[in-house]
Amino acid sequence: MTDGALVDLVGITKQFGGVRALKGVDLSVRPGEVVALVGHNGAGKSVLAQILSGVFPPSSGEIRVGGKPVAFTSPSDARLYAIETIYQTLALADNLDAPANFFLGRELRTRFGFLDKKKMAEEAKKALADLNPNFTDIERPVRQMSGGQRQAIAIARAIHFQVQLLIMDEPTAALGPHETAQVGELIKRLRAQGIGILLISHDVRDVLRLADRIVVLKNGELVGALTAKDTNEDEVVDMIIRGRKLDANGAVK
Amino acid sequence: MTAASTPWRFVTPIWPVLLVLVIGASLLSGPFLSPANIAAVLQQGVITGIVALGMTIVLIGGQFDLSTGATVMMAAVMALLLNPADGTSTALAILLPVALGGMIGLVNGLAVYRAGANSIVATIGMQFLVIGAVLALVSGQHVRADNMSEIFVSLSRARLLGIPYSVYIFLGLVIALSVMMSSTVFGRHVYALGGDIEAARRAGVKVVRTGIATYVISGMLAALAGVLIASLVGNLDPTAIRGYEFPALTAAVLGGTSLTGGVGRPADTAAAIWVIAVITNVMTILNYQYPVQLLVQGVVLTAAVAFYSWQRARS
Amino acid sequence: MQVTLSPLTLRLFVKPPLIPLLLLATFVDGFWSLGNLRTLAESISTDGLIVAGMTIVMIAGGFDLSVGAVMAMGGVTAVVLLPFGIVPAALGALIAGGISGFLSGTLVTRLRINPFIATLAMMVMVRGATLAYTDTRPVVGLDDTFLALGQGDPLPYAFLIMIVVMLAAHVLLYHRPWGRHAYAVGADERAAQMTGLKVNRLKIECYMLSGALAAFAGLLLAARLGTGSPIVGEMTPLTAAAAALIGGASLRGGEGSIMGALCGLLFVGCLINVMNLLGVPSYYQRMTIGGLLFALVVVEGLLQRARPR
Repeated sequence: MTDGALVDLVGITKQFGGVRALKGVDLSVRPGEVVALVGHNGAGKSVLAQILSGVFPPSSGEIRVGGKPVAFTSPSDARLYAIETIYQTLALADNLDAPANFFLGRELRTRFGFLDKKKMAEEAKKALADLNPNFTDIERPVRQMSGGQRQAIAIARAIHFQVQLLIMDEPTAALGPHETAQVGELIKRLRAQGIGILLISHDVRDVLRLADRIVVLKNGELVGALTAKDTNEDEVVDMIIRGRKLDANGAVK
Repeated sequence: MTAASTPWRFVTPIWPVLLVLVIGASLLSGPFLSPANIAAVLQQGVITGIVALGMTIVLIGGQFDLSTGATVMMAAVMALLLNPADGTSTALAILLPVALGGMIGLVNGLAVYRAGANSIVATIGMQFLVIGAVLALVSGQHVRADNMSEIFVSLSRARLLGIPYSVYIFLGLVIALSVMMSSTVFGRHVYALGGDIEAARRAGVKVVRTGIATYVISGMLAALAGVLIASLVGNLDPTAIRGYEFPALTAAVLGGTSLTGGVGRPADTAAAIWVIAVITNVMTILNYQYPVQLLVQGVVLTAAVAFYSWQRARS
Repeated sequence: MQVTLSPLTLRLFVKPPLIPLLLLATFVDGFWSLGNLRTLAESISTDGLIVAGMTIVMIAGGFDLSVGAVMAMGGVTAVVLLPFGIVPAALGALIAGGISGFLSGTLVTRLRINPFIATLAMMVMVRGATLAYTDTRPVVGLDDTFLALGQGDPLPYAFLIMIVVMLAAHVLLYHRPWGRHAYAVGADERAAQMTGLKVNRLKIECYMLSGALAAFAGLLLAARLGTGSPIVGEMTPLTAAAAALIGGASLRGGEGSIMGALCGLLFVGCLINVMNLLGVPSYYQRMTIGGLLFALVVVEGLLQRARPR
């Protein structure tokens, strides 16, 4: 394990029926560090992210938070440890409005135990305005909202509450160039606040620009780790494809 | 009507329909507006209505409960078998069937939300399981309770301002469940379940527990409906009490509850219940028998489902 | 594509319960008597037609709760049309069943209504119409030719018809393109649509088949009972669904087979037969079938969960 890490994943494996999706993966994220997880489709990136966010448990291996082993039986367990996730699917209930989705699972209540709808609407509105000042019509089913607006809700609810580790699964996959740039700015801002970020992405250029470390998965195995400022696009792509790292002399390690 | 509102604010056309129907019915048939008939219509809606409220909550959560008709029968038989003659037995005759209804709901809920069983087929299986068990218990014979206590009888027969107590019980439930669905964390989570169960789970909603609770509520409400039947008749043929789940489902759907979950309101179901009660009442006055009423219910359900799915596809 | 029973289903349901049940039945007095085997053959033959239809609908990803009501309607229709001759009576029943199936299929495909709800509504409408038409009384007035249909020696005609229908359904499913398409539609409707299959048309055809078979089963039942009863078939959707599920069909579509359905039919048929021989009251039988169906869908749910995502 790594000293001072927010989270350590140690020897994580995951078996689905006869398929081994992860074969003993180690990974750590420190506060204020952006770790990018790259690899082909089916390399195991999303599975690893979902294990860390409590969607399903690993078949074997250990998750440690602040050095202590923990077991997540559901995503709400991961939330208790200030691990928040922005899922690729966004995980929004389409029939509910933005404040309801924003506070889903941790609703505010009045003194009498009822939903404090007014306060929730106000807080959600403020948090969403921080991300997108034009996003004001929030009290309608999210089904009727644009992709960018839905994304904003998913992001806003992940960073609004106490978050120490933020998992972002393909956060820019559905976005245009302008919105993608905004997400980049957001990642920089969160890092500056000391939040650890696990970024899963297909976009190697994005990853190089935003991440501190780049971790490459191939066929469920960790095939290498690179420091973003010491590497380049070719090296990363090469590692994704061939699963090996070229050393300084150009020979296969 | 605007679709641009959240489920608990969604406006369905059921209220205007009810109004038009009441006016139409009073023009069509003279006796409709007599105080006795109005009380009868209100009361006729109560039993199915209570079942339909439970159905609505299960449907909002995205599942079905077709076992409720059997639970109604179970509770009615149980209540009479417990012979509510004095204070203690009256309390037992109300509480025990309701608790048993809750247990049936619990088993349904575990099967559907724990094991992932198809809720329609599982609850149809449960329906026949319960009906068979109850008929076996009484060997298919009539059950009757003599000397039912004043309190037990008054549940459905005593009147306040000319309206039976059971109608007030129903109205109380409509209000309580409306508040529960619109203004409590539990209600919010049930809507989230029906909207996207995986999203709800990922947002930290206890989906299994919440889902099971919807079935327990449905079972308890159905049992309460059965207790009210017992208090009304005092003597019943168990085989005659059945099939409540279908009009309940029809009412929930007619009230705008979505068959795919996440949309619906208890109060709208109540309005739909009275729409059906008015139709049934007029058909009875005009001397159409049960088979035709069954046929009409089927048509109403199909039309309602078709209407709402068309409406949602458009928005 | 699932051409045989899924091994898991086979291991869990078909082999174990059927063989022990038959062994157990050996200890029940009179199970292997000629008279009882004939009763068994008669009782599974009408249900068998329905199970075949149900299996096909389930393979294509649907369900048919209306089969019991349609069976009653088929029997009544046949008896009512009997004065015009036996052929018009049979055709009338088949057409009535086919129309009802067409309506179910239309509700499911064109109006996109959940198949369980669509066929539940059809069940109520068909039952209501049949009860209304007959004024809830059985219709009588059968001629000898018709009654003879309910007999047959040594094997009941209905049983032979069931075997022929099962064989035809087997051929249709495995040896005709239509069957492959049905599996494809049930397994992944969108994929089937994109490869150019006429998904809606195929589904409607499945429901029409199921309706026609159910109505014809009603005709055979009327011939055996000697009346066209509007109230028969209350338990039929449950027994048919239980048999199809035991036979490896899935509520999620794309799976199932006629051989499996035959196993399931035999299992449920023997179960009911043994209970009758033991003098178990009908209430307990109802309970058993309800409990069996409940348990089956719970196990199916658990199996689906255990599958890899």
